[in-house]
Amino acid sequence: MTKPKLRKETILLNMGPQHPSTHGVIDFFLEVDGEEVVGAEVKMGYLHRAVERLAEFRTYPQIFPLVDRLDYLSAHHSEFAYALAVEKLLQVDVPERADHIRVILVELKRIASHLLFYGAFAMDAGSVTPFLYAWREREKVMDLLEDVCGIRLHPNYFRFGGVREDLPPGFLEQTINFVDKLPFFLDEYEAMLGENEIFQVRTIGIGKVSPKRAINLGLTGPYLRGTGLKWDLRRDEPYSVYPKFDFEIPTGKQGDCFDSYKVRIEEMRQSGRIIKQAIEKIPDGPIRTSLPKKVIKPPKGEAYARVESPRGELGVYVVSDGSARPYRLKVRAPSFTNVQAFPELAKNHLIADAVMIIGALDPVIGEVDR
Amino acid sequence: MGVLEGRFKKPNPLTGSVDFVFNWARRSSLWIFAYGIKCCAIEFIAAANSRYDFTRFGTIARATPRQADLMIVAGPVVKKMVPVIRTLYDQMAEPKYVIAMGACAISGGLFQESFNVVRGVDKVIPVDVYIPGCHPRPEAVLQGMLEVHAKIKKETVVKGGD
Amino acid sequence: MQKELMEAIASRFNEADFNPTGSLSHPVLTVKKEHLLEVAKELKTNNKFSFDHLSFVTVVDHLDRFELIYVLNSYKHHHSLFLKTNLPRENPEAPSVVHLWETADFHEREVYDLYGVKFAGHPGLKRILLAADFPGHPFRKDHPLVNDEAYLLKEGYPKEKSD
Repeated sequence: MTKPKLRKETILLNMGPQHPSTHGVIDFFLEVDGEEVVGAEVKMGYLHRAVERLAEFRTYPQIFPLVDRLDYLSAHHSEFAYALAVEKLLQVDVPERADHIRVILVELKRIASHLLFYGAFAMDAGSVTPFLYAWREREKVMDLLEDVCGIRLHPNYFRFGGVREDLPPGFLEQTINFVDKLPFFLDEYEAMLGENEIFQVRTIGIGKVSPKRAINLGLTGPYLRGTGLKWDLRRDEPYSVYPKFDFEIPTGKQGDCFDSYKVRIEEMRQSGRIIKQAIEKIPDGPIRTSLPKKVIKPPKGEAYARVESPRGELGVYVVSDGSARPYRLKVRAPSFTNVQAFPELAKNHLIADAVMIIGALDPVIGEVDR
Repeated sequence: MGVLEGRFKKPNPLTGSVDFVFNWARRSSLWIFAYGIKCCAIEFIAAANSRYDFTRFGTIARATPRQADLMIVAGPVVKKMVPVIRTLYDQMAEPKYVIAMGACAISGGLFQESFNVVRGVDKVIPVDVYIPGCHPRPEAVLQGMLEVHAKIKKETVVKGGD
Repeated sequence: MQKELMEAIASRFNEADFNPTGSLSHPVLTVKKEHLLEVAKELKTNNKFSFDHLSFVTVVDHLDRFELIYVLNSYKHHHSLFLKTNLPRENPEAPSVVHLWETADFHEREVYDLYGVKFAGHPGLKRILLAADFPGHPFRKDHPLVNDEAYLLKEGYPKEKSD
């Protein structure tokens, strides 16, 4: 007697918009054959606030709070890119002290963002302890940032031509104190998670991609560096005072989740180095170039400025028509293109691996949807 | 609870003791369904972590609405999200409470004028406590939870009460 | 490297289209819609240019035309370029570049969603950010910025506590 043929079919599964493992409100629509992912689609738009359209009705300084709230985990980077773009239109220079302050804040925020990545990535793998440990350090960074900007997440601190106000007394000593202790904590985190056998089995070989394919898909940031391509906008298209500092660019080998994790841990060490050098070399002086007019009306033109955010290339494109409001503001968000690579990376992996891939891509939905 | 609900018109020692015990039990272990949409979710997670611990109030963050009593909406509600929020709220079992956290959830916040943002989550689900701020500090989140506790303390099985 | 790029472009493409100081940050190359695909292919495959990274695709709505902008970068030569073309405002259409840079997939869908530009040859052009039944294309300058609650809460959810 012949065995009856089993009828198989794939199941369509909605992973989102509310799901503990997606980093926000996004829907990863999976097509699964049993437990294996055979196809995926990314459905977004659950947080689309039309910030770019709103920006056409606001004056230039009023857009800083809007841009803060796009990528809320690295708000200083968004403000940096926006300030750089409009300073190109206004053709105004930034005094050196302000540049140093900008770099210190931006690198502190990079450490905070990578610590959150570390905690969330560990939670995705199922271990809760690193989450609590990482946030212990993150609270210290939040304290430092709060001393300067006045609020923990949305600074509204950058201005065209400099920064809003000077550093409070004692800030530089506290930051050096924090940065000196940072390598010890990073070793602890490495020992807890990176050298953990279960974590290594969960992440090595998952979501591999070659550098050529990654470039075609538009991936940028630590995931691209994990594939082996040594590209960092701070080194290859330098802006602000980055040419003065000496730091390395970590890369990976295979472009999988484990490489993405290792690259980010190394980047935290390098950020500590940059902060230390920036504090040692910070000059005295003004913190803001005074602009000729009170109402900011850049001359007609357009400009695009990009910075290296913890997720990749974050760029702001501004078109001005000579009035006090921008004619068009476009934010090139790294997570929007990184998430596009998900269907290809997750193919032929299990659902649990798909969760790790999302964690390794580290999307922030505020900037995916804008 | 079902036997006594609405049976007495005036408070008496029986309803008083039942109220005391049930309200104490309900508020001491409010399990949270963290529906964090945007930046306020980060502050909510900070409130859950080691410095501003909220597990000392008996709360634990659960991933599914079926196991939760308290829903914290932290972020703006967008047109595509409206049916999702309503479904999530309907999936929670009674008694349930809702906190609207941050300016975006209370009234649309900074994005009020946008064509895609609903002006306040209370147009979709009923809200018990509002935590203002953009973003509120983690201590404000703890204060909001204590306000829910105070609200629960006032509940009663007497007919006409809530 | 930018200088070599400018010389290479000026020699390869028609002088009238190329404006090295068109924007305050990047050189600008404006082409007609008919030549867009072949210019894009040349920019990607020719070793002097090798623009392998497409940052984004967007549209600026000047009130008499749409200006479609591609921002291209090269990892090999460290140079960047704006590639622009003009489209009419009624029934704007453009060829899709997804076969050259796969990252253009989401960007072109976003432009279609917000501005209404149709991309011929795109493998699945549909709305990405807005709800499927959103009336119109809201980023156009003639679409007013209006918060329409009746549309947003169309499913008509009641405000009272359900039982």
